[in-house]
Amino acid sequence: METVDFDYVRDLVRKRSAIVLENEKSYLVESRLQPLARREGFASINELVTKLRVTGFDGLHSRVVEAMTTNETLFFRDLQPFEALRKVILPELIEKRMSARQLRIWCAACSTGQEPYSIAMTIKEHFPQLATWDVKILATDLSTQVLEKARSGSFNQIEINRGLPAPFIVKYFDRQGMNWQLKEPVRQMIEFQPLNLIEAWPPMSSMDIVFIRNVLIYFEVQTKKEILKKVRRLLRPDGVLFLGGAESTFNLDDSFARTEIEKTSVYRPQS
Amino acid sequence: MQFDEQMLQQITIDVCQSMLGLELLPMSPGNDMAHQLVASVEIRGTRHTIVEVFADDQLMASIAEVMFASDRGSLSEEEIRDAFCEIANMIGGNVKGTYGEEANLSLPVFGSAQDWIETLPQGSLRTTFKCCGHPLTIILREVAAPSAELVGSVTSA
Amino acid sequence: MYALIVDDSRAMRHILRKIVEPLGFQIAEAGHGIEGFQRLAEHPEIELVLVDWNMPEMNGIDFVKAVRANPDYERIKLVMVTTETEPSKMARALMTGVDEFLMKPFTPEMLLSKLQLIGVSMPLMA
Repeated sequence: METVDFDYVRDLVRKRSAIVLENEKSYLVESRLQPLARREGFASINELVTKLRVTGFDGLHSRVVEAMTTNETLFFRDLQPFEALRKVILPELIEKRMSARQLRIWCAACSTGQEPYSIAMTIKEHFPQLATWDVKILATDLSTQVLEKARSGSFNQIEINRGLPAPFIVKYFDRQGMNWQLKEPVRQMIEFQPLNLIEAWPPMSSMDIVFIRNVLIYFEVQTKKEILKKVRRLLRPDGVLFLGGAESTFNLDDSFARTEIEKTSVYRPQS
Repeated sequence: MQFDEQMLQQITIDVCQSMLGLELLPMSPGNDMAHQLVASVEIRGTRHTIVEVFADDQLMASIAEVMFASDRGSLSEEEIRDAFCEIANMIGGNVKGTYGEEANLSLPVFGSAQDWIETLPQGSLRTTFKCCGHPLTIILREVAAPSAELVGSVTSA
Repeated sequence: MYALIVDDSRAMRHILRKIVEPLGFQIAEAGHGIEGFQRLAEHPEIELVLVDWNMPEMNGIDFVKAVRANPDYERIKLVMVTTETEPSKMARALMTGVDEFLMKPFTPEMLLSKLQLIGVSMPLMA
């Protein structure tokens, strides 16, 4: 891939998603743009970028940004956050919300849906009493293409084979030919919506739990700070924030206090 | 659900490419099946089919070298057959899984394709990839007649 | 720490060994369920068994049934690694007593995620 083309794509991705592609990531850019270029009918990445340069921001630009920002994910990724949720966070919150009987959870970079569905299955499996509560999981992502896939609740065998407990496969999925379809009661718990973390956020209700895992790492310090500040405002005073294993609020936002639960870090607003 | 060639291709890609890292390129099927070797598994349920995997001895050896993480030429004939049979087992099992009802999978059978029955009953599927520079062909044979006669389509080794 | 791999394919046993050995396990191998029992008797310290379903002599499901019927083997974690992928078969394996179920084909990462789910200790894993 030519340096000028890489530079163009890097600027485009940075402006639209605030994600910074380092020079050493050019192999990644290439491996992701190659199939897209082919799909869109271009003979090369160079031809694709040439087209991007001469047209105003349109669907093609969005698809390039999406191709660069879509990340691999798996069910129950890292496991411990979900253990913390099941053993400590949800029981605590259920106790506190006994009278309101309402829970709001937000997965802020849900990709193809494995994270919100893992939360939904955890709730179905271990907290049957919540069936009569008003529980909503909001799942958002920058990419509409990814959201469409997430919303379908349909996963191939490779996706099903990664991290998903076998009893959950049997209980919550139907096999349909090559794919596995999540059953309706789990799908119904989640609302999928497009949201770009670096643009203005639509009005959202206050959240009890926010998952924003493995996305801050891609942003520059200032952007991380702004996102965390907005999350802090959205989070209820006794709410909980989950970040990715390599992320923390340290040196970014001192209004969060870190606690260790089930070998994972969770962040609570400081009073 | 109708099982089609695209599904057979995807299963083969999942086995050979995603798991073993062997690159597969679609190619048009060749005619020189008689000089190849074949590993097959039989699927018996409401639907009765046989999955046959064809390769020449060089490709078989290459696949086995990947599975055993071994150097060229260091594997025994038995190990090479074993690896090839496991490919047929994995493809066959995954084909069976898409049928939507329980069925039984036989243990793999290995043999030469010399006596292989060229004509495929209606509804059968055939797909060929280029793998390590050699053709890898997968056939899903619908068994219309009573199975006992047709299992012999593959000469047992 | 000992792990047992029961699969009639030597190639598959080799692939599984290459994933599990670096986690800190010593490996015993068997080509079917009956041999699997011999290995269990030889190595009482086995705490993890990866077992295929379709095998000659004694298949994986009968092996699992027999292991679960023996109180001496109660603490052994059983993972079925098989090309049987129907949900009904998966359900039967779970009812029979496997702790996890991995569908072939798989990658090392998939097996590791399954071992993590059932709390297999992997001292050498970073």
